Amino acid sequence: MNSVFLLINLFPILFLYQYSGHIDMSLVLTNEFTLTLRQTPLGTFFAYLSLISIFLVTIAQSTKKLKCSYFLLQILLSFAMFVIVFAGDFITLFIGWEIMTWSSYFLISKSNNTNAKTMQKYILFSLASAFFLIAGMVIAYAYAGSFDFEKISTSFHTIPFDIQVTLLVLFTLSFFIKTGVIGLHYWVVDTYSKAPDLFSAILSAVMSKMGIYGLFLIYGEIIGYHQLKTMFGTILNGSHFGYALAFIGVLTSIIATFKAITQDEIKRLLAYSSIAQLGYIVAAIGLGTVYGVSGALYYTLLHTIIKLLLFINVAAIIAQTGKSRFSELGGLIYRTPVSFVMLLVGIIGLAGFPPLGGFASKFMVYNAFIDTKFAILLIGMLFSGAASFLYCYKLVYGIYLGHPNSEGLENQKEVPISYLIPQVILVLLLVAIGAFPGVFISVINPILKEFLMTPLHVESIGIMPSFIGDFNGLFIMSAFATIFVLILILVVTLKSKMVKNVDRFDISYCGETPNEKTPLHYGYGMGTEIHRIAVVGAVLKRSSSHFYEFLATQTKRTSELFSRMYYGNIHNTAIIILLFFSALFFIGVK
Amino acid sequence: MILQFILLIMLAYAVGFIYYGLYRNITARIQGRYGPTIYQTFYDSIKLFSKKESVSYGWMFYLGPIIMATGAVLTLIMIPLFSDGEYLKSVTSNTNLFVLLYIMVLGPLGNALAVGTGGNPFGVMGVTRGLTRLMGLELPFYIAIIALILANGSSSISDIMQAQATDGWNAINHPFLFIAAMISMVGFMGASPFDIPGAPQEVYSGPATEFSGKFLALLMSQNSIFSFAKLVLIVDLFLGGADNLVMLVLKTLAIFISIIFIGVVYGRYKVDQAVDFLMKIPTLIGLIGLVRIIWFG
Repeated sequence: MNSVFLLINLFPILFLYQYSGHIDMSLVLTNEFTLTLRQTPLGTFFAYLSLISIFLVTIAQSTKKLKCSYFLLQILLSFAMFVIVFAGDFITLFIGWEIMTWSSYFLISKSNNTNAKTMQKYILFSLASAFFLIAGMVIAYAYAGSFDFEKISTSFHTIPFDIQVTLLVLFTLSFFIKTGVIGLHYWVVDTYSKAPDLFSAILSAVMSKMGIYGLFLIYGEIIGYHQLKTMFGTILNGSHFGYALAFIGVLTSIIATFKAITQDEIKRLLAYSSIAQLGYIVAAIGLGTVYGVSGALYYTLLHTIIKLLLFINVAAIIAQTGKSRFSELGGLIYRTPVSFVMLLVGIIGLAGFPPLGGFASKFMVYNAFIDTKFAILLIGMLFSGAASFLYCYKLVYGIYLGHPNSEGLENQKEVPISYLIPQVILVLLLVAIGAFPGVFISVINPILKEFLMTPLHVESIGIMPSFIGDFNGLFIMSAFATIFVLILILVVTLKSKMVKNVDRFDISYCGETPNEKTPLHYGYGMGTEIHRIAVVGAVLKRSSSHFYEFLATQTKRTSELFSRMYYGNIHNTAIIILLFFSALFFIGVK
Repeated sequence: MILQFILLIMLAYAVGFIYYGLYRNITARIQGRYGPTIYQTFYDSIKLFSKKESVSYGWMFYLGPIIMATGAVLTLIMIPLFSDGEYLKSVTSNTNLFVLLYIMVLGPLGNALAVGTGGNPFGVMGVTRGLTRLMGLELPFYIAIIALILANGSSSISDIMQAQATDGWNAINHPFLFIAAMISMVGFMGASPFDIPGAPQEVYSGPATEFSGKFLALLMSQNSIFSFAKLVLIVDLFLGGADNLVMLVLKTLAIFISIIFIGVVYGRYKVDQAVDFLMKIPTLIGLIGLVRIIWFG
């Protein structure tokens, strides 16, 4: 029975093959309400992303003994995302959004680690997102007279300015919650770290991208970037709105990077890293230039690939060892060598080093910043990129390098093959994109046309186009490989015997001989010293949880106040009711 | 083409070692010692290449120095050596400053993996401190580079270098950027007060702790190549590049000696102090230069 459901989970990818041509369906409910599904280049791109990701994660799930209901919910989730990206009107979008929220809610509850607080956080923020969305769509309906995206888009300029801004803020907030922009990221970290290990991959790689899709939908398709620019005026070469959005994105990435460095739990680190990367994407979306939009799309693709790879890798290690903290792991490199290489490629991509695909996406976004002349924000982004090297190193060191830090790690075996297959596919993708960064431009160009922008011109698939100097991925990769091989040959041919491997305690250690009890693994301490840097320490001390706890206590007190009115004293209640009705009466008389 | 490559690497290797010898000599003289001969580092390296390494911790341990050397050589061939642009044109025409910024960190991070495999906590401590320091070190450097890209409308080093032939040196036109970049460069060259990762008294020699034999020699050689590449980068970006070898050596030497002088008189910062300093004063100086370019340039 399980395998049947597993197979059903692999099925949606065939769906795409079937419908690669054209989707245009509508279901007429009444004269005014019609549910429509239509295919746009943007939607197709996100549909491919989500369905392929779910396919890969399902392969990894095949050896886990999961319940049928798990797979059933997962298929519901794929369906929901399918509906979201192909929705032609707000009602369809909202239906998809709700199905996604609820199916993921129950999926998160399948984990042994979750607790009521995490679930509450997740559902509260998801509901807030849905409420913002519904408020926005109802206002849009009131002014544009339709829920249909195209109709709202054509009549958007007729809406008064303050309503336009309200709509923009409502939709932006709704999708910001899903992407986990700083301040609204309160639910992200707990949820990602407590969810079932493989479902975290879907949460980070795919579901957060639905927020990105929403932002594109609002800015690109419904309002239009040119209209945003005329609405808010320009600063340097971009719009004020773009500057604000880019600022939020960069701030998100910097703060989340600092937080990621100090984490001890692997999945929390990855969650913060995910927030930081989505900050980049939000910044790029905000810029709204050709390079900004293509950079954001490119980054979306790369982030999906990399986070799937890392989360699957980490899930495998957690499943294999039962440990989920850096302070408990370590020294797995020669026990699980294939996993190590996969994670290594993943972090090279995450840090964005040139031979791999990660750099191509960052390069595009940097170009967008140069294009709009938002130099200080660009520096902030580069800075957070440089800081991210630290958590990338922590990720690989804490798990695979150094010394085994708890019992049983010495005799670990390689992780099951079902976890390795999707990782190998993703690594190959990452390498291929690194060597041929221009390939993906042909996917971006139709989306740019959809947003009424000039498509990018690609000379060859090995080159990433840019107006300030191209990035030749193929050249860098081949040059790197050639030099590497030459030096390797040089080293191997130099006359000297290779020494046998020595014991792991055979290190220079202040003239002493370390033993089993000596703390040699630096996994936990790594990165904690950034607390001592004054500026960074001040950032790290602040936490959004203080704000939300404050909000919770204030809400509680206010509701207590109100409840006292009703239950405290019968006379007070009577007076209040009397005052209320007399107020109503006077308003009515007017 | 291939001959050119080999010549280039040999040149960088030789110049780098002589500079390092000079560094040891000048430091010694300032401290009232005689110091070793200028060629001492070179002899050491040749000797180490022929020696057997004493320990090994598996294949990843060997790969680290090789990745690091690859990063150094890649950096070297991506930086145009002379301003006429004829030499190794096919390589340097692909040079993009963004790519270069990342390539420069690639080597040290590759080596960090080997250090982690070695299992010496001091090595890893050195790496971690190095990466923490990088947060501060890159900031003024990024500002200088972004400002130059904006001012020239190109991220190619050749373009920035050639623009200086008509407009005058960037060091004079944009003094704030030059100062900011130079402070970063002191750290990149591993001079005090930012020589935290390899601090001998605190973390042994940091990343190099466990290496011996030809791998230590490889690390030393790549260090001299890499140092030379970084000096050429500064010369290209701020001092108008060089037409011939003599000018190149003179200009790089001027930069190198000024870095030595700064390094000799200062003590070592702790990592948090270093980042704190770098995030304040050089960053502020750099930002002044940047604002000048964006709004008044």
